[in-house]
Amino acid sequence: MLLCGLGTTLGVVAHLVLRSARDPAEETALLLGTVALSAGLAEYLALSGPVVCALAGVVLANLPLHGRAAFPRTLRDVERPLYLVFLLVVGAWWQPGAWQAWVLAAAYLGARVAGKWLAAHLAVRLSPELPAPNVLVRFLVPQGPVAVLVMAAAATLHGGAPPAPILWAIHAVVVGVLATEVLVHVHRRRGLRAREAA
Amino acid sequence: MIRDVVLLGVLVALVRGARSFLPPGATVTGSGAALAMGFVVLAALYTGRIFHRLRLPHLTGFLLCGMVLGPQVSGLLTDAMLHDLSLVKRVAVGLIVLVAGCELNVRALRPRLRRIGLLASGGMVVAWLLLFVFFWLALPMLPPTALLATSLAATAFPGFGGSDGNALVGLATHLGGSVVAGAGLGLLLSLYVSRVGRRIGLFVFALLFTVAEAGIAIHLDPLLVGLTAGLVVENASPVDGSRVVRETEPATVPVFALFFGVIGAEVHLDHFVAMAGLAVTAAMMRATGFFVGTQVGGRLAGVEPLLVRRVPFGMIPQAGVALALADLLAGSSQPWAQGLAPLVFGTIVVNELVGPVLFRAALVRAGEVGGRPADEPLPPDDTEERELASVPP
Repeated sequence: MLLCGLGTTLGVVAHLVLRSARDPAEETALLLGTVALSAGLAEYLALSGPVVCALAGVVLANLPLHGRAAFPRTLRDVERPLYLVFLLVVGAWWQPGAWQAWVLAAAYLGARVAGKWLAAHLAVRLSPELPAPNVLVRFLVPQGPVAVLVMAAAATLHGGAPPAPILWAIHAVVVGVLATEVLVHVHRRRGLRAREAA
Repeated sequence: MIRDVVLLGVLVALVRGARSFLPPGATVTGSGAALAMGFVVLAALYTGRIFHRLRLPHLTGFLLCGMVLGPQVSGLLTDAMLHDLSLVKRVAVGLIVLVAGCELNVRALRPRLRRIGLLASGGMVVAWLLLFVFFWLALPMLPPTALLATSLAATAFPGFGGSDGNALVGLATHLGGSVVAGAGLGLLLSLYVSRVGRRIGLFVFALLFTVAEAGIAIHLDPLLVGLTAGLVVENASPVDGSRVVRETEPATVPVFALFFGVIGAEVHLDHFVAMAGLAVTAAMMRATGFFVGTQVGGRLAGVEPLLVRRVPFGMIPQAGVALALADLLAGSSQPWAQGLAPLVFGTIVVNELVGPVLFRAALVRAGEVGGRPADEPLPPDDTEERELASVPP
């Protein structure tokens, strides 16, 4: 309840704040301030930062921002550097030394690929107009940043020293991202080669 | 303006509401530095806008906003939050001086360098002499509590202070190392700008964060590093410093708002009030020094008397670099520096409150802004540009 209330309130506040921007530089500053405030409030109240910010984003996106046509561009301009910094922070947390982390990564990756493979076959059986399962699985397997984000958010809840299981989970997710990227590329190349041979 | 006041009120109510969930001083996760960061940026920006409407400097608004939100007044920002924002503060110091360095083109100034040099050095030497005598006399008068002043202590100059009995060597290494690192950084930045030329702002921030963080470990001063880097980019490389300034501009607004807000929040109000009289006197001594010194320098340089009368008004405002230097003073381990820091902060605040107003009045009288006709009219609403232009000393 607190989560929804805070997310919605912050979305409305973000809307009011961003509507008051007078130029692109101020818009960037207000956007950064709003994002930091939203994430900071969530962290301060020990709530999930990604969920609160996502709710605020949904509210913001669905309220009219008249005369702010450049806002999506500002959002993209701000997102990229923050994303890079985020990846840097996650990289700093990545501790590939523990064997438990590798076991968890293998289990996570196996479960994820198997789940996506099963889902692709099931989906094709239910809707035959979909592409072949081997093609479909290639689109389903790559992992977005949300999983990494959720683990990073869990780590921040413990301040500067997250416990070992969270560090193992970060490792599993990071390995999952990297491995699925490699798997998809290998699979795609094989597919291309097979098509050329045919 | 009403809208800005209302939004500021909404933000304060939101943060106060969130803070009410936990007892004072208690935290669940971390210190709440992210909350403080977003809150200070937004609140300082809105206060700056309100001050702009009142024809007062933005920076004064940022400082007062921090002071009101800080631990001494409303307590919305705690000491732990401010402590965790010290990295951002160091990055801001680096950015302020880097921008200042990038704007100082010696080649462009060369034709008027002698006149500028004589005017500026005349003003600075006399002001320095007067202030030296004043501070010398004022030091014993400082309240004893001032010796415990400021929560800024021990963030800069770690290890410096002569604990190993070789303070001069330490100082030389610190200053020399910072200048050398700054020159290297400037070359690296110019190489990046000329070869890569993309996402320059991001690269600058990455460099400044590295300097701010590594500077603690290897005793580098972000102020000297940033200033040297900016000067090297503008004067010793083919890269145009204004490009770096332009590319970093979108990020400078929140960084400056945060920096000045945090500085304001860190000011100990009781010490500040106790020293208000001394601070006003110091500001007056400084202004007198500028007036007397520029008269002498102007006469030596052969500058028109009317211009000489107006130049000191442009020298009175103080802002970023002066505050950054005062912050270093507060961080010094010397006991006299601890006592003097609130007085220097107070003097800067007085200059910051009065200086831009006097400067604008001088510009209006010179016909460069306002209703009077002028040869080269400036935009009517340029207080902020003037203010930021005065950021170097």
